[in-house]
Amino acid sequence: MSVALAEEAIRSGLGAYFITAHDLAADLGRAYREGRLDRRMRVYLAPKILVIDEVGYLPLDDLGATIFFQLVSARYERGSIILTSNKSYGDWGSIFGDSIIATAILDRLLHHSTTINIRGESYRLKDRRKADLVPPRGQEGAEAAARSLASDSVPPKARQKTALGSTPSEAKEAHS
Amino acid sequence: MNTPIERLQTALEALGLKAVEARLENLLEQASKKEPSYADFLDELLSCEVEARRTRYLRARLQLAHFPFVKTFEQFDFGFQPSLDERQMRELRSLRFIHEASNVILLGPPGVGKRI
Repeated sequence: MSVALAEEAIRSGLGAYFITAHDLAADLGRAYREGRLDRRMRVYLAPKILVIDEVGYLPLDDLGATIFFQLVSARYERGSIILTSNKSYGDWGSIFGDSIIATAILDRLLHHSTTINIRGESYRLKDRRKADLVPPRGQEGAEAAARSLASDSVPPKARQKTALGSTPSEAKEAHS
Repeated sequence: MNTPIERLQTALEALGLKAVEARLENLLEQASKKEPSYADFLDELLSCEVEARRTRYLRARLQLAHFPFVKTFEQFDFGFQPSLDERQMRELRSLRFIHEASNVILLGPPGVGKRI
């Protein structure tokens, strides 16, 4: 859905850029070591939509996490991020190496945001599930952790504004 | 002395109106058959260039975006993901979130269509 949304944006005349979290961290990490982080950062700040794919498939190192935070901060209230992740918010501490930076990232990311949990079955596993070979995925525990982390990290006032002006209860709906 | 067609082609090339240049003979032939008004003829001529430029521009933008593939909303199988809320999808498709610099986070296990 991330590509479909970004494609739609391009059709309406807006710029978009797609990159995996891993490639993003590698590219900006290299730029940092070569002393041209600010200039390289512009590539990811210019488009109105930045798609960051596969956040959480591979953990980021300290530099990667710091750079990721810088990018999210720099785009905050300036340009949209469409982010995909296989990890619920409660597990983001393990992606970024520590829960403080994960909380700081989530803070800015979620202040104005819509979260969509896609819980449908995997295209790839669909047929095997039908044959009862694979039990359905249980996500409830992880999501409860996500809610508690999110409510720790995002101040109450900020939560009022989530999900494109919808009410807090609707926003929560999207989390549940 | 050049023929009018040759002069036209030179002028179109100088102006960079490549789409019109490529279709010039075709457009003239059609016009002599259909006899449109001057305004309609000009409109058709310039629309052909505008459309071609738009297509070129979109293609360039799509390339710059580095998508791993191009998938449009029309191709997305919503029936397969009943957990998606139709109203929410419509809201996202309106792209209002981009104008508000708001973010969209898609969470879920691999293979459910987050990236698509």
